[in-house]
Amino acid sequence: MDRVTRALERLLGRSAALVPPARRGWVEAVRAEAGETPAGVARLGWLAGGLWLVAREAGMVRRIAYGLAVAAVAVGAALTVGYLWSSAHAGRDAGWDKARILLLAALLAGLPWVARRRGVFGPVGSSVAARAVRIGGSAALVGLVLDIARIQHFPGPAAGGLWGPAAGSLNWVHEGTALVLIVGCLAAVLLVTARWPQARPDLVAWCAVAAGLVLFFTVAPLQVLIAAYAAGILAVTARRSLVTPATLAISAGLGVAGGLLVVALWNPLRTTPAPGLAPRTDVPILFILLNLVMAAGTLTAGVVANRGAGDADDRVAVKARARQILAAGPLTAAFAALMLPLLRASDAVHVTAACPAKHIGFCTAAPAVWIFFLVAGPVIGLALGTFGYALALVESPVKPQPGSSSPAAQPPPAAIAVEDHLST
Amino acid sequence: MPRGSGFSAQTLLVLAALSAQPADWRHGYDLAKETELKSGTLYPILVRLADRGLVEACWEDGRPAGRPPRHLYRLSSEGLDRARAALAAVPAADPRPGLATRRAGPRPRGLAGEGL
Repeated sequence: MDRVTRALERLLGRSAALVPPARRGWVEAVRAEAGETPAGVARLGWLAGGLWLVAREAGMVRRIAYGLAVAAVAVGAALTVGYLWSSAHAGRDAGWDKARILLLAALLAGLPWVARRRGVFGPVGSSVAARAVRIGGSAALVGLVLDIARIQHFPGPAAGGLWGPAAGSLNWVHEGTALVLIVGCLAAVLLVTARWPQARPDLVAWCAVAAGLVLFFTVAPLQVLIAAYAAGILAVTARRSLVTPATLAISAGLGVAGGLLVVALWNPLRTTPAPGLAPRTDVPILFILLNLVMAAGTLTAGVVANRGAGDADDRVAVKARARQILAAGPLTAAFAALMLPLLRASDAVHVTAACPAKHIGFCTAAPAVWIFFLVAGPVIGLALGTFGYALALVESPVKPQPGSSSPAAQPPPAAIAVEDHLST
Repeated sequence: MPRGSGFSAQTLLVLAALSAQPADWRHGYDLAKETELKSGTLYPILVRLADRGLVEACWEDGRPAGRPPRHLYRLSSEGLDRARAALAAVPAADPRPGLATRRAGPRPRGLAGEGL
């Protein structure tokens, strides 16, 4: 018992370094009082209480919960990679398929390292919303990887559609061209912003998005989509992110709810009409529903950002509010889209062999429509957010800064906002 | 849980112990014995009370023989006012042992909660 007590006392002394310096005195206080308590179980209990104090003050309870969640996602990712490896293509494409799986494994293994580095992608923000979105988004992404891989691994001709026949086979021209074009597109954006700093960043960004879409729908592999979603999740939940916890929570909540609604209403096999929807109209109607969810997310985030800002109407506050509107559109769409693996589109592909001949068009279109949602949803959300962002900057009144010259010397508020927007 | 004061039952026990002799400095083990709270409950309460300026804390002067210096606590003047008000708001028939006898001072009503 004495040895355990001494070990616990040493542990408490060393663990004091984990708490902020201003709090270490409290841990020392518990340690100093331990000698007063009766030896034995009572002293052990006293020291254990000190360790609990350390855990609370160092924020370790939250860190441990977050660490366990990260570990669970990592195990899920490892199992996914293992499954993909074991079910990789045989024959001519085996090498290429396994190379893709290794690339994906490297990506998944590298994400925690990138996420911990101080910068655009990490470390994770301190809010519960940031941590929950990072963990939940990563878990959903693992599901997405698994589903995409199952679609790609389907060997039959029924996997046709947008990514069907070429998904699993090697095409050096396609893959090489994609890589060159993606690098070229990124380099072009960097060059434009370096050469012409006054260029409007939103226009440059939209040029990049348009080029990226063209590339994606023509030559880029689906791994690009996974990497884009992963980068987005890390960036919006990082400590440096300008997206507030309220916007994250609203976008994720509405997006998940909207995505689940789409999943509930859409029949991925599409051999029979979805409940309450006529054949051939289900996808357009659900796509409209997805857009309504995005609009609701954008609007709600804007309203909450406005309320949270109180009376602050200076330029910084106006821009901060507008940014929340800009972010809410694509975030809501992305979270709705991440629910789509629940449609089990990969299963839909696998059962197309049993699909009645007259419905074969519906069956084979399922994965293509699903991936279209994954890509187009965030892009449309970004367009909605950009519109709301511009509107918020133009419409928001901007009060003169304290200590500035007389109001008569100031340009109109809307002009300040637009000028500020253009000069960003 | 006495909702009227906004303090938890455990915090009220600590406030009651500290307000019994408000001028005296108390140490952790002493408070733990009186309130029957474990160190893992007592110290987080003391930390929060000190953060809010309701409790003053300092280290014992000098180097006492045979033991390390103690960390000492007592209520600040604001803490004493709040403690008295919170304890007065506890219902008279509160079943928690010891708390009713530890109340100090008059019983003002309409307290703002502290959330502790």
